[in-house]
Amino acid sequence: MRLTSKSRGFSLGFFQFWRDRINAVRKNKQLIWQLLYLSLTDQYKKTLLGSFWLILSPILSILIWLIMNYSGIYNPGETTIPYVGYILLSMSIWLFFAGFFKHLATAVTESGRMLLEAPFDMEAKLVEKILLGIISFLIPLALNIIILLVLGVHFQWSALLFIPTLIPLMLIGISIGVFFSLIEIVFNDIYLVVNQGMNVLMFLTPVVYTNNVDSPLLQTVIKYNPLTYLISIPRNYLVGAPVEDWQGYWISAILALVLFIAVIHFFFNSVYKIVERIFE
Amino acid sequence: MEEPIIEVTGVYKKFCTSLKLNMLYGLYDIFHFTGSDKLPPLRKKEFWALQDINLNIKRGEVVGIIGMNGAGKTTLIRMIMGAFPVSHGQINVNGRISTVFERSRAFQRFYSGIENIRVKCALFGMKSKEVEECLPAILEFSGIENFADAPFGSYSAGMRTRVNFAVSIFSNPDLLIIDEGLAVSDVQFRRQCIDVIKARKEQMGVLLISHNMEQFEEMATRLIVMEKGRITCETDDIAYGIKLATSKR
Repeated sequence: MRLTSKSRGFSLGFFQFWRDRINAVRKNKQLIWQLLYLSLTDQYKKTLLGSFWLILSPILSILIWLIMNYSGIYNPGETTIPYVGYILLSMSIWLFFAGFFKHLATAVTESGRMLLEAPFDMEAKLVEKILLGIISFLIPLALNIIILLVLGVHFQWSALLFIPTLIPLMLIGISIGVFFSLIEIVFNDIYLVVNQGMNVLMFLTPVVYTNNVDSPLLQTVIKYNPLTYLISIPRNYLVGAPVEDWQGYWISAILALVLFIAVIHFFFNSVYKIVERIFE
Repeated sequence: MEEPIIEVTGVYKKFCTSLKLNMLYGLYDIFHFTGSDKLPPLRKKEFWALQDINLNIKRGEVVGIIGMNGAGKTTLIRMIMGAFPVSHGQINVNGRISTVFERSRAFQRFYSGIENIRVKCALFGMKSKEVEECLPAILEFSGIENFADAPFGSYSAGMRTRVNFAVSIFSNPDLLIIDEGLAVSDVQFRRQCIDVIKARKEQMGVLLISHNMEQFEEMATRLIVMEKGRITCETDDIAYGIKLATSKR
């Protein structure tokens, strides 16, 4: 490894850059599993039920939505499946996206103590957080699918396209999280503002309501919001609803890929220059 | 000729004394990609913590660094480890580095000793098979076999030091960095550590920072005296180096 003021030995060539990142992930497999184990178990270490909370937390969320729905608090308009199923599924997809931001944005700063003793490759931390985001999504998703089956939703073979069509949404979530993990090292307040902004963004995306809203302003926001397509198309595939707006989906997917590539390059060219600031 | 494990060439390091300015400089550095081979100028409230540091370490060497508090010893090792970026110059690292600090921050208090050992071994770059192979040796050396499943937070300071050192030495490093890492251990364990370092000396290099002169006398093959961020003396005559450093206190 060569450490200089200009770089940490990163290749400027596009393909070599990505080959190096993949090799670093391979090299750090053991570390990734150990970090993932810590992340999954740490918050429940001092609880009586331990890791069972990984399943219990989503069950409690589902119960809250069920109670709200049957008490008649929400009236979101026409949905192709029972509203409670719609909302549970939409919220899972949204939390899948927002989870990447939440987990990744603090990835570098939370490694501070460990980095001071053994400055490991940052690829390990990013991959660990991505895996954590995926696991945090799959558990509630499985429970939600059970609820949908109970509610009488019949799944078709096209539901298998749900996971691949989610990939662009994942890339955007990772990109935003990785970008703000750098900003969070130097300025905490920007991260706090963006964290709040994510809640606002949820209400500007058809998550708790359908695409067919009355407000012309909200209609325009929904139309130009790439998340609209990246959330509604996988959701429609899963529940067997008509899949439209392919053009919007592909434009958003290409934007997501470009953003992901740019942010990962940016991250690895910058992170080691400023990482010492987390120790202050 | 054998390649050095560590080659430090013309290294400089600057820090900023103002937190707010440092945050702004950090934001600037994030978006600043074009580097230069010239020595960067000091910005407002910045100062040189290290200047023109040159150092090589090869296998079989135990290099001691001696200097008063604030001389730049820990900053230098953090740059060698890669935790602090280099402001100017170059550091080449050829091999695995393990560290022993006076107080380890990487251990998790609610996790058992054995879980912490696995995490720390992985941090030092060990593969799963390697970890499982050296686990019995780590437990035996640190003397915690009967407490391996107890939470790390319940360990005494001495037990933690023993685990910390055992993981570092049994991770088979090419360079072992000890920064006051033996300060809180008892005489018997310190003896054990010195013996194991001597026994494994030929397979690795050691960089030792300590305020205990006896450790230098017993182990060091070379001594570096640091003062105000510069190397003021580098000598194979350990007694002379100690005399020079202590006379300036």
